[in-house]
Amino acid sequence: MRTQRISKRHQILYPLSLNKPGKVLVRTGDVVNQGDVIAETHLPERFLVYDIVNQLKVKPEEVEKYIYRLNGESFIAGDVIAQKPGLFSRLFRAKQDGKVVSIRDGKVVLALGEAVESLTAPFSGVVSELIAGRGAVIAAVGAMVEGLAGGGENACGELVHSNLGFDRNKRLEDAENLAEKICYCETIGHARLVRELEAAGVSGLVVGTLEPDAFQALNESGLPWILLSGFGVAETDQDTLDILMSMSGKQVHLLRGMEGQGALLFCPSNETDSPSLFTAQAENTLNLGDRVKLFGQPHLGRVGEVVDICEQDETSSSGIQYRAVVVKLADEVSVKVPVENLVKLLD
Amino acid sequence: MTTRRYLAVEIGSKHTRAWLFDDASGSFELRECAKTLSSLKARGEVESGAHEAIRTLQNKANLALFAGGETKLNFGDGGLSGAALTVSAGEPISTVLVGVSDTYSLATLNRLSGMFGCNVVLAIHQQDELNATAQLSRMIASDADLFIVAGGTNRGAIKPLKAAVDNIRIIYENMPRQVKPQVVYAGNDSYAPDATAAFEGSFDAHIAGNIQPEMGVEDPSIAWKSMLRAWRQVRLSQMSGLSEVEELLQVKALPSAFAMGRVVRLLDQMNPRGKGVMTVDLGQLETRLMAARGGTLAGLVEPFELSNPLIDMTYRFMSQPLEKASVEACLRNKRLLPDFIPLSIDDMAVEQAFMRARIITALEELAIRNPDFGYKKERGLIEPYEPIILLGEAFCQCKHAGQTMMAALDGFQPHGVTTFVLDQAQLTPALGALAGVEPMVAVQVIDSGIYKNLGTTAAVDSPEKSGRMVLEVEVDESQPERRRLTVRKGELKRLETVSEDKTRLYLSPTANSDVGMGMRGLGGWLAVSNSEVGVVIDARGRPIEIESDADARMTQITEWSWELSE
Repeated sequence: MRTQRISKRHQILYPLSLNKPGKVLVRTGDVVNQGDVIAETHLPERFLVYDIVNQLKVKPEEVEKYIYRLNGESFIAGDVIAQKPGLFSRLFRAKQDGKVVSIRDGKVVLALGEAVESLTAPFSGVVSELIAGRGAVIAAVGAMVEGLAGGGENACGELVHSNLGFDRNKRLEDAENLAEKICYCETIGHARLVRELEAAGVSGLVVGTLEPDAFQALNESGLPWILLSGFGVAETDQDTLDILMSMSGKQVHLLRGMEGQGALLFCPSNETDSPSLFTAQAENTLNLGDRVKLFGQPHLGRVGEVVDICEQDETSSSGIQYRAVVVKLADEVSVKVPVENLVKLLD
Repeated sequence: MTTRRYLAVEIGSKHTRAWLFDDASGSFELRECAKTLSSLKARGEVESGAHEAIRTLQNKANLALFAGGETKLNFGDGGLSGAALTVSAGEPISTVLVGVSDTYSLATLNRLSGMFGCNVVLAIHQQDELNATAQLSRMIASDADLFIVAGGTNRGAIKPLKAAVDNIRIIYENMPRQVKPQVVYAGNDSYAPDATAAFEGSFDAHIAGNIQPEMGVEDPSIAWKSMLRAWRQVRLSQMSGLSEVEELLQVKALPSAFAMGRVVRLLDQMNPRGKGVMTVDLGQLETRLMAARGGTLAGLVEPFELSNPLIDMTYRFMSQPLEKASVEACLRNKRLLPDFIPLSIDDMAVEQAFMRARIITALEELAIRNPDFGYKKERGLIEPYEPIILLGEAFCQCKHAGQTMMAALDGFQPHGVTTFVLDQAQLTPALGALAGVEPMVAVQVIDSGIYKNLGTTAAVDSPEKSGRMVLEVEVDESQPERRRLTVRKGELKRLETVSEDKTRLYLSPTANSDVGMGMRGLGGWLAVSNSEVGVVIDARGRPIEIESDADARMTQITEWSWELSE
């Protein structure tokens, strides 16, 4: 079942992995700081296909004798790759360092330059595991709030709260306070708010709920964001709000979801010891007493406790049979919902 | 005679299913089936889910399917005679199509790749403006898992193909990648040996015959084997535990959609009425649509993105008074929690409308790739397909068979006469995969009546104005008295089939109305088997005219649903 971790203190194990195989530059147990390079891969900056026959005006069967380099041979900028001697000599020089990768059918293909793709640590932590040829898992302890969805790149900044109110000039009243910060908003109701936040220079957004119109604008903006409760109208639950309040004013990291994890908001603490292993919760099963978040109207985003897991299937008003779970909500009201419509909350 | 038993396993994104078929009764029947949650999502591997499904099946069937712990299956005397494995889980395969021309080879490649769940990230042809360097750069940037090359007629020019294959070889040899990309070559036969040589006989290069051997002749089936090999290599590299499941079942995995295609081709060959056969599977993350007619298979595996047209279309079919933003929010929440069960009437209305929209979107997409397939946006499904097999939890979730049929009817908008059947056990892919092991399993299991007959529909196509009579129907239920009714333009009427035997209807359209009997005004007898819903006479026109006013539209859609569900 779907889970969402909302925790005041949790050890996160954040995997960082290159898209292409490369060299891992850290070792297990290394302490890394934010921005340190974890792994890198070296790729040709570009490829160039040079048609010797047509460019040097030579006969296809004679091409070989005009090529001065072998397949796989490296060269430096200015080296002659191919040349047709004579009174009106024609030659082809490399403009960058590189390597010959193919000589076929009168064409020579060069891999030119070098592009380095680096993977940097998004936060400080300890390397807990290496991912062979790809990267490493970084461990750190802190408060975290996992989102149900997210987008954009990793971001970091001070967490601020905004009620997205407008001033007399119809501009965001706290616009000046938002630049380069991660901003939490209960809900973003329309696209204009996204554009105002973007104009205010926020570096990322943490949003309780989103209206579809705002969602499209958010995706177009390229801003990093995470969504906590879903789409539509819902209030953020008190547990999440408490943790967000505790992060307020502190440096937080908005992290992309990696390998099955949701995007998350992480606020590292200075503690070095990790939480006990024995407090780990079973993630895929639902038990009595578990905290859950409800999906579907009219309960979207509401949080409660599982008080009963029914043995018999129930039939909904729409006629569907489902395995029911009784959830006691914060206002003492109990509701019967399908287990499929719940997100299990982990701490 | 010893009983022959066949096991089929399907690895889906949500569930892993297992079916056991045997011929204990004299012909093959479904003996037992089991469904467990897929382990792919929870544990990132597929092996434990497959084991659990087979274990559950073993317990339900009270048969020893495993031999010696759970490391191998009990094949041979008294055990299994064979097995099949299909996979529908997994992300679409990122694919580059390289053709010689846009009009011919790329169009053919689009049709071919569509059946194998490929996500085309780049399509280039050798007649475009790009030079070799630019083509190479684009191919590298695509970072694709699969390259498919085709083009040129046999014994035709090979230069463009040579350039394409050379570029792919450079990427294959020089770009660092965890898993090497797969290459399928299905172009000019004359260049095939050179294409093989270019990749030095690598297992990642799959050389097929030419899918366009002559000008104007196209046969994608020539490349199916190569595509299957490439598809399997990609899935083996993506899915932990898949090779172990293959080893356990002693069989190679097949894409579910391809296996579904085998069933519709088989039924198409057996179809005495000369009509095609179609199946649609509304899966959790993608729609699979396979259609066979006259020996030609057209298919599509399409992951659904919540695009604006899809949302608009869903809203157009809403039977409850919800704002468009609420409909979209509901759909987007469903993406966050794909297992979500629509509990309220509103959520169910969104689900029902979404089913219609997904069918229409898939049909439109398939028609773009396969213009001859027989669907037009303005007119619905114009070519005859019967039966249309419905798969997927969305269809099975409906409370009444009438709701399922209504969604299918609105989605397909068929012309003439057709029948909708529901594959409740979701076993069409399993039957398709087993058809490659023991063809009689598929034939006899289908004959055993495994599909639930939802009902037959007769669509009346008429230029008459709304409210004018377009059809008279005479119902022969082997009673002394025959029922008679008239159908007016815009109406949807349901006739229950109460007889144990076939019910016969005489359809008598007005002079300018067409009920699919061959020409306008021509009527005829229609014999229908007993079914869940009965016969539905659909005189709503094509495309179905839906009221533009929201309230009127909701009333209209609710009335139609009531007609079929009451």
